[in-house]
Amino acid sequence: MSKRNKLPLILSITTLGFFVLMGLFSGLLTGRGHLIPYTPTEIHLNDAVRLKPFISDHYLGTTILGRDIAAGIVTGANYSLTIGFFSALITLIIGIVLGIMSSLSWRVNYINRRLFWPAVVLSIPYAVVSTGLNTGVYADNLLDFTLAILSATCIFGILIFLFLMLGSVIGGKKTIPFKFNTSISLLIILLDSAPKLLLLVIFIGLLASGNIITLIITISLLSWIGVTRMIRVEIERQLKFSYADAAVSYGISVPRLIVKHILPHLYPTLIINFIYTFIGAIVSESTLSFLFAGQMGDNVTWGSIIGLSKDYPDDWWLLVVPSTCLVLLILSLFTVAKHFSDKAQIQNQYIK
Amino acid sequence: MLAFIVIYGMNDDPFANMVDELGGSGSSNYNNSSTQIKENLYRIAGLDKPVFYFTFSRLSAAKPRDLAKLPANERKAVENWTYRLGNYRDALALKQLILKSDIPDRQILFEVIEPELVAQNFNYKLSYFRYQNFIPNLYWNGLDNQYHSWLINLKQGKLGTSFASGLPVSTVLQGNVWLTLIMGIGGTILSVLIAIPIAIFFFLHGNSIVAKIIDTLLQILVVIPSFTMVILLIMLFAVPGYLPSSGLLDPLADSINYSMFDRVVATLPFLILPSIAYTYDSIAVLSRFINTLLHSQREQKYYVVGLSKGLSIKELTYTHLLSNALLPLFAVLARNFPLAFSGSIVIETMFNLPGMGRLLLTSISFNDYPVIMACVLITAFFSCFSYWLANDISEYADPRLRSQKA
Repeated sequence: MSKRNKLPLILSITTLGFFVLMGLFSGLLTGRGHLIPYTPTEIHLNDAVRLKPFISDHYLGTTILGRDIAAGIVTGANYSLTIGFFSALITLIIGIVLGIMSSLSWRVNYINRRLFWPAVVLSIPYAVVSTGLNTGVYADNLLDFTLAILSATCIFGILIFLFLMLGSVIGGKKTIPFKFNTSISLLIILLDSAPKLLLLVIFIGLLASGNIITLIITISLLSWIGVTRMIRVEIERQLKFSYADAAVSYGISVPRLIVKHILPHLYPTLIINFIYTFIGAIVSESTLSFLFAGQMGDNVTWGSIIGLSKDYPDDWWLLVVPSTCLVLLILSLFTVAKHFSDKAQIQNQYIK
Repeated sequence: MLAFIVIYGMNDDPFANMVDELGGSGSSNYNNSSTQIKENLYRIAGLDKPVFYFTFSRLSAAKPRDLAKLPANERKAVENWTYRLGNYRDALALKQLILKSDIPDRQILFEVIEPELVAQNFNYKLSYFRYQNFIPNLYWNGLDNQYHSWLINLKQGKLGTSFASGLPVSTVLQGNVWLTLIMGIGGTILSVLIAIPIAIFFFLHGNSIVAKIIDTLLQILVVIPSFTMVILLIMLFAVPGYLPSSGLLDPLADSINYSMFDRVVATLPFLILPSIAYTYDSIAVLSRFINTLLHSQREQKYYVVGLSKGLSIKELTYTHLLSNALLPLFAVLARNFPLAFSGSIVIETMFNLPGMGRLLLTSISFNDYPVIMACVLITAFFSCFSYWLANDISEYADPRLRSQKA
């Protein structure tokens, strides 16, 4: 095996570190008396409109309103990286949980019928309470409180009850199938029927908010599908290896086997997925702020700076500066992901 | 199974949009008109009905069923007071008290946020029941809801009426769907036609300097987001005036009596930049993908047999390797086809093409829900269709898959 060229990896990690530091210390870099003496939303209508880069202390030029682009790049790095990191993290967590649940289904296939009566018993108080609420039964506060607590715990009971009833109606068996697998794959089919970006554009466009938490939650709720699918396939592949058989024959439970022994094997896959979701989130975020520039609050992001250049095509720096940042960031993330996928390939050659 | 997928794929998206409808209706374009007109408009558009068959929320436990029939200001007040008091009886009683009272401008009282103040005003004794708010409840709304009426209309072939233009949605869509479809299919075919020669070149001369330069170039192309590429193309080619960048036909040429052929020829320069924007990244991805497919065929036995028979690598590639390697490509293409719809949003908006993506964006800015829903429905239909096609084509082309299934 030939020695790999490490230079691209080192370069991309350096770029990544540069952007991360820029994002982390964006508050310290911008503003009066700092390295970049302007804030991104400051307007200079008289003295600094549409300045070219490198000719004044607006290092990377200004927009039509005289806003400093260098400051915008720094805060935009903060915005992009925050959204990318947290939505990738949430996506990964959802993906791992649902992936494990859907790969477990062959084991937790049937629920014992003995659960039937507990489910009924649990669901009766909830039914009583909810009917009581709807007809307006008034009672003392302490009683209300206990009733509320009881019924809140019993909501799970009614869910189990519904599952049991449905299963017995459909299957007509003594044991009732309880498959996470089918329900999760149905959910995947539902979400997969339209492209992610289309749904994202519709949701964010209708909400018209640049709120960072809204964006993170929307992006991560729309992008867990790929991760879940990948993790399920990987876990099912690992379960066929002889070490999994050996562990099962020692009497280990399958959930424990998956969490303790299979997940550590998957960590290159998880990191690759994390990075790809990261890239996807950054691209979606900048596409959104490009399309809805000005409608999504007063945030200055890379996408919104590029969005300005569609109205002023002569101001090349509006396009070039943020695009270069975006391309460099994505390229370096791709390189790191490729490093991990090579590593995973080497690892897979030795697992038996 | 496939019918299942199609039906569910369609059902999902309108529902998701319907949920948005509730959130969006507050900021819709009716804000400026008076309350009465607003109410009527809502009633005509059917937006005053509940959204789905059931509601699942913590407030619904304490919410009266016919809240939706009240005028908007009363509804908002009752909802707010219900939420604060924990029971709707008191809130409804307060509402009745306000309506019965003979205060001259009593409608203002509905703007009061704290129900306690209103109760003090009428000497009404409140009975708190706050814990109701924490109990989740499933509420059956009945068949008279927005989703049901939308579904019934869809069954009869009606997609509703656009809020923005007042025209039926099918009329609005008619002119727009074809362009997006033609661009999507044409772009896919074009990118394959360009990607195959590049991939064969990589396969045959993988170690030459030219191949390495092209490879690096393609690697950078993959990374550039499409909106950056679009503006770059406009800056490089359209601003100096080499190529037109806006619309589909010169307005001057449109007025002259052109024949069909002349019209197509006149349209072509307008399509050059959009088609580059459509295809640049798929060319990069596909050429690498086809290259790996070709490499995977190298391990097959027929390759070795062909070599030992004395065929050159070039002959083998063109006659045997390519036809075998391209089999998985169909599935990938059909699966990637729905991405053309999301890609069209940016490209059609920027090049001002009358397609579905631009229509979608404008209807989002007008909160034009029927049009948005129709767009999503068409996208979902075509993506389900292309998934079906992906399975079917690969089964038709490769008999081995058929025998595996049987």
